[in-house]
Amino acid sequence: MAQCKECRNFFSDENQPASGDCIRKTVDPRQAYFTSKRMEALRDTKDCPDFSNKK
Amino acid sequence: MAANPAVMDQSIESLEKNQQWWWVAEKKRSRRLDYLRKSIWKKGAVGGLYNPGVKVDLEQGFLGMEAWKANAIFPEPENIRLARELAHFLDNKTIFITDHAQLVGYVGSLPHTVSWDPSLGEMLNEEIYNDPSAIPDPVDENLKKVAELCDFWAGKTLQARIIPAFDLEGMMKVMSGAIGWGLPTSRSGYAGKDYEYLMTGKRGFADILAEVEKKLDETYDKLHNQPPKRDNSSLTDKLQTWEAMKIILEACIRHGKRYARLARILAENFESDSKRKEELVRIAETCERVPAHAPRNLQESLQYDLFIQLFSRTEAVEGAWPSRPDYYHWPYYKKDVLDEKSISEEAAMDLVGEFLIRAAEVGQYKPRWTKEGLQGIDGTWVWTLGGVYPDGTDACNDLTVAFLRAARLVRVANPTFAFRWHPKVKDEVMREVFECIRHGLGYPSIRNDPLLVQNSMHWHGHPLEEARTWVHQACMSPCPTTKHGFQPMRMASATANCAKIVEYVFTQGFDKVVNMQMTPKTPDPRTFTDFEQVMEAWNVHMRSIFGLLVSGVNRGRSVASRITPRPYLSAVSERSVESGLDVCDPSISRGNSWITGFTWVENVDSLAAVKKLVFDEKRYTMDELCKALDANWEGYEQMRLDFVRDAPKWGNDDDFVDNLMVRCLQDVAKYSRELECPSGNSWPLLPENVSGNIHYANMVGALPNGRRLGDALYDGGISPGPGLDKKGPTAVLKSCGKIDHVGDGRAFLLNQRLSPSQLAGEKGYQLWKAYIRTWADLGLDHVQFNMVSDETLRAAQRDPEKYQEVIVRVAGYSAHFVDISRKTQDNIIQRTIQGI
Repeated sequence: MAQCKECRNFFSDENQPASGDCIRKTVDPRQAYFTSKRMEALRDTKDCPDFSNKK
Repeated sequence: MAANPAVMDQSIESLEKNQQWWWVAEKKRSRRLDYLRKSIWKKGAVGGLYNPGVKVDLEQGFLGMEAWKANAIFPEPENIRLARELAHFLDNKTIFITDHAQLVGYVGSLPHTVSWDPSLGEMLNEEIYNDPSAIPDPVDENLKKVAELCDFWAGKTLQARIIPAFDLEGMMKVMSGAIGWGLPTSRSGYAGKDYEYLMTGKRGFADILAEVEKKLDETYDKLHNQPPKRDNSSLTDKLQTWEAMKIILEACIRHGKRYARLARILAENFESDSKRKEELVRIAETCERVPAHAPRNLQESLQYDLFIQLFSRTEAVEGAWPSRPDYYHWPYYKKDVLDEKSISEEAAMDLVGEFLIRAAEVGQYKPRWTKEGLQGIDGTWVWTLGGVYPDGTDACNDLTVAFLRAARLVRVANPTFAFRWHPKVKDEVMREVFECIRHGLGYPSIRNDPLLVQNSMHWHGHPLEEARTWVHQACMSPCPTTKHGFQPMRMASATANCAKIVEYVFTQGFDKVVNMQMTPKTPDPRTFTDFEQVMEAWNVHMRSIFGLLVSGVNRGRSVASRITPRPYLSAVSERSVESGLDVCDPSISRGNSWITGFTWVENVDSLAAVKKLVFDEKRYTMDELCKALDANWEGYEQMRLDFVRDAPKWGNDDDFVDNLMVRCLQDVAKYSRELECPSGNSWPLLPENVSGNIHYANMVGALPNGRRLGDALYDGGISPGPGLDKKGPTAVLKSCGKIDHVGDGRAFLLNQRLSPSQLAGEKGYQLWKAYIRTWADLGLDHVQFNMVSDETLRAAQRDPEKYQEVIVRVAGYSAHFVDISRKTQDNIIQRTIQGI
């Protein structure tokens, strides 16, 4: 079972080891932007279509 | 907007000669500004609907629900509960940084979303559920989520908690939509700001936090370690208010640092371009600095201002953006661009232009009546430029010019500007103001600063130096930015559909559209034998409508600090930090209220018609007039045309009708002084419209000025009816000059439409300058201009894709012409083009 902390989009937070940020790039009809969403490091990624293993 | 290649091949000089200013702007602005300008998802609604692709944001609702559930285990006072809810949202919402951006922050989670706080009201939530165009994809799945949020918040919302506090009869009359609009709550309206506390470089949020923590320590000690005194009960309330402030200030600081972290991660892991890397590092440094600490440079100052506004919009739905950007950001512009030269003018222009764009893109889901009344925009954001310092010296500076030039480059419809004119404004600044108008922006509006300073002192007793700090609290009304002078919340419910006053004279106070006895039953107008009886009845209905709306808002304000507190707004307001009272508490505010008067001039034209045709010339009887109005003029067309053509109309320097205008305003002014706000201050009238003339078209019945139910009403304020001002612009000014713009009301909106061809070149500027001199000499407080030809507007109607950045002045705001309804477009085209 993969966890968020194993994903290349996940950036751990040294101040809060249990959490981190999931950083993604989006291009919509008007602009390109990077998003950041707070995630728990140990969150199960089974329902995440964008999981990409760091290794 | 993709440029038409054939147009883009033309030179700037050629486009300027043809006055195609929107193409000129596209060619002149930097690549960064061009990208960012085109990146905006427009959040104004047309026909009550948002643009395709704009969707409601669900994050705040679900995060709010999580926070509510956590609080339910150990319920806390409302202000602390709300502060925790907002903190949870700011800590966990999705944030983003747009490519090429240097400023960050948004109310929603993604650029194409409009924010939604379902804790505000069931009525709003139901509107969203029934607006499939705004539900995010996949619609079916997300509609279930919307339903889940609506069900959860039902009975818990601010609306549910506050409505029982109001007089039911009064509330039903307001909610009918016939005489006014809105719900008088402190989390929906127009929030002023204590800029003298926040934006003068003396403190950031961490400094305020230190003040709050000191207050907490002192009060805790008093409460727990000293003999109880009789005011101990209030100490507990104050502890809770300061605790709520602490929670939200800490969350705001953390939120800034989230952007800093994101910017650093992007610089270190995602960005290969060295220049963009540097920019991202600068964003990180900026957001590590603000809002925690006072800004040190222009980028930090603008970012700080943006955060202040966005946090306020997280706490409430805000329909205005009071701001004085050239005044409060000037020290940093001067330091960076002029003194230390650490950034170039061009780089500063990129920042200033982007600041306008960040404001333009803000969107919060609005109820139907707001979407219809403010077509094409999210709210009336009128930024105040120019004016004077508290000592009366000229405050215009290079940043004033930079904002005016940036506006011509980015051509956003919102924010718009209002320029505080005074006799010592330098010619170079006036030229820049004029260029914006000539470029068809519809702004700045021109405000008579010395007169409005006097007005503020007259109606609300603001001391002179405080009155001189004024900004537009919404589209028109001045409000100081000082500790006791600023108004924390102007509730939109003190907005009257004034045409109903004269309508009710003929229906004896009964509203036929909503089928309700709205005001006292005055005598049958058929029995009137004298015009004075008409005026007596008019006064009864005027007092009743205004009194009803004011009562509602007074009540909303009185209960606000208990039922609908504002922990964030309190935390950034000196009087609240000092006192431990919520910012909405009337006891710590001087008061700055006004009644917005939509659809005002219809009264005057109608009364003039009745006086002339019925009582003076005896051409028709009151019985005949009543029958015609009952029939909505159907079958009485010749009579209707007599009332249109043969009765004098406002705006033609005709004392017959102008004296009636002054009389009506003075009757209202007399009543205004009898009304009191919860701070003990008065309630003057401010005639203006936004797009209420279209919104209320189907609400106002037939009137003696010849209007039928469904016809567009006049475009507002003291503007003459479209096409009814036939004696030229000086006659309009002379009519308006008969009003006492200090004593007869709060302010008076005047729309004028000028000819682009007449005002070309240096000759055009001199003509306009002379016009402004006449305007000032006659003692008017406001004027705003449309300068777009009928030809361009008709072309834009035929081919809207090619004219996306054509802007028009609607009323108290500007909008892109293609973003307003056809009816409003036609109404604007009908406005008389004045040759000066």
